[in-house]
Amino acid sequence: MELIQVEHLSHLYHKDMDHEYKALDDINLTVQEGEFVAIIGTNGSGKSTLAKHFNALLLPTSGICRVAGMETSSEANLWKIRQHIGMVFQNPDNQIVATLVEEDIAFGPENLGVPSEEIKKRVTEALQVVGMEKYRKFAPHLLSGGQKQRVAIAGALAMHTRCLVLDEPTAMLDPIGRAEVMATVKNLHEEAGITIIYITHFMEEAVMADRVVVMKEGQICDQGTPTEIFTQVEKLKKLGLEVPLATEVAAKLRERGISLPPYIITNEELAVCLCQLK
Amino acid sequence: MSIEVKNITYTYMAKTPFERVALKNIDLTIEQGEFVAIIGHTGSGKSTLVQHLNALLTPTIGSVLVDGNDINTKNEAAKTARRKVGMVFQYPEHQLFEETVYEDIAFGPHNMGLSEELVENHVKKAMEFVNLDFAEYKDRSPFQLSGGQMRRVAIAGVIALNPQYLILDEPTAGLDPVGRKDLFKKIQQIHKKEKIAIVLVSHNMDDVAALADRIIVMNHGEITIDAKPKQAFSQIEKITEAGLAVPHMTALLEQLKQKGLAVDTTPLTLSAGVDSILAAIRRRK
Repeated sequence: MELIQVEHLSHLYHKDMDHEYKALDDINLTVQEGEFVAIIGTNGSGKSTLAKHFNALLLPTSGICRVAGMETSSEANLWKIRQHIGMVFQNPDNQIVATLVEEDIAFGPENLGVPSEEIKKRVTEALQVVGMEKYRKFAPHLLSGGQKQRVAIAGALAMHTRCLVLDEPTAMLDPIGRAEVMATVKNLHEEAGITIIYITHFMEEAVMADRVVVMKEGQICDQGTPTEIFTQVEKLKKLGLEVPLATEVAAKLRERGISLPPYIITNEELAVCLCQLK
Repeated sequence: MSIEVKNITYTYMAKTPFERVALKNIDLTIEQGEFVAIIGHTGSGKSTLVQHLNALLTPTIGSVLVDGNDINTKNEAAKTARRKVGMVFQYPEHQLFEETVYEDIAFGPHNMGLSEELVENHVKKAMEFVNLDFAEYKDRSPFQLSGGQMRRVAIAGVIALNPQYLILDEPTAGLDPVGRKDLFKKIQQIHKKEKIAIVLVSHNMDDVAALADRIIVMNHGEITIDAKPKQAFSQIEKITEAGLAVPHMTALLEQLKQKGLAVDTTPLTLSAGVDSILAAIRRRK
C-alpha cells in the first residue's frame, strides 16, 4: 500500500519576490508502507524541502502530496498527517522540549489528548524500542548526542507514527552515536515495520536502505537499489556525491587488473570476493 | 611560536552539587604551522579544551600561553595574544547577525580598530578565501543565502581577523561531500601558504586521517593518544575504548585481514589501501 504519493510536486521559496527560488521541480515519488528509502544529493538539491512536505511543514506550490491518501494541502488533514509521519532533524538539541526524558516523549501524545494511562504505556514502549528504558527519568541535557536522537525517535514512536522521516540524523554525532542511531533505525524498520525515509550525506548509511533516491537541483535524477545506484561510481562523482569506500576500492582494483564482480558496495562483499579470487 | 597548554585542569560548576571535572592535567604544545586534529566522543572534553586556547574558558588550574604570553592575564600583550587565535564554532552560521555579508565579516576587523580601508582589504581577502565573489555577495543579506554559503560567510568572519592559529570545531557537519572537500582544500591551502596552525575538532575519522599530521585523542578529560595518524589509528583498542571508530579504510582492511587476506592494515588513503590489497593478493599467488 502506498503511504506517501507525490505527484508533479513543485515548491517555490519566496514566491513572487525577486529572489524567488525553485527548490523542487516536478517531483514524482511513491513510498510504499514498510519501505526504507534513502535520499541523497548535494546541499541545495531539495532533499530537506521534499522531506518537509511529507508532514505538511511545507505545502506544494503546485502538484500534490498525499499521506495515507490524505492531501497535505487540506488543513483538516493536518493533525492526522502529523501523527502518521514523525520527523527527526539534524540537531538533537533543537528538538527536545521537556526537562525529563519521559516528559519529552509524552509531549506529543499529551497534545493529542491521549489518556494519561495510555501515555505511560506508550512512553514505556517507545523507550524500549530505542533501548533507552534506563534513562526515563534523566534530564535530556545529560545524554549524549546519539541518546538524544533516540529520545527524539521515541517521541515520534509515542505518537504511534507509521513513518519516520530522518533528515541527516547523524550529522552531529560521534561514531558511537552514529552507530546507535543507525542500529535503532534498522531495528524499527525490520522489527516494527515502520516506513523509513532517511536523508544522509553518508553513503555507508544509505546502503542500509531498500531504495536510494538521488536528487539534483530540485529533481529526482535517479533511483534504484543501493547496488544499482552506488556501482555507478563515475556518475555519482559527477553529481558531487561519494560512493561507499568498498565500491571505490573495488573500482580501483579492477583498474589494476583484478577481476571483481560489479555489485560490490559493502566491506563484507569485497572481503568475500577477494578471498574467492584464484 | 606556539600555543602551550600547561598542566590545565578545568572543573565545571565548581563547589556545587553539579561539579564535574572536564579536563585533567592537560599538557600540550601546538607549534605554529602544525595541523592537529582533536578527536573524542561527545563529552570527552575536546570542546572544553579548545575553548581554553583563546581564553573563552579560564583554566581552574594551570595556564595557557600563546607565543609566550599568558592569555588569561589582563594586559595588552594577553589581548594581542588572544587575537592570534581564531575560533570557528559548530554551526557558525547560527551566529550571523548583520544585515549584509560585508558588515558581518567586517565586524571583527572593525572591533580591532582597523581603518575602513584595511577592513575592506581583510574582508575581500576573507571572501576570496571562502570562494564568495566580493561584488556579488557583499551587499546580500546573509540570511538569504544557502546553508553552505552561510557557513562560508561565518568562516570568512574569523579569517578576516588574520589568525595565526585557527581552531575549527566540526566545520563541515551537514555539508555535502563536495562542500566538505572544498572547505578542507581551502583550510589546507591557508595552512600551507600562510603557515597558520590548524586545530581541527571532528567526528569524521576519514577526514582527520587524511588531513592532520598529528592526532590527539581525548577520553574522560585526558589525552590518551598523541601521535601521527598511522600510529594513532593502529591502536584500535584504545580508539574503541575512547568511544571512537577507526577510519573506513582501516575498518575495511581489518575486515579483509579477518577473512584471511594478509593485508597491511596501516594505510589510510585510498591509493595506499589499494596498493596494500594488491600486494597481499600477489603474495598469496
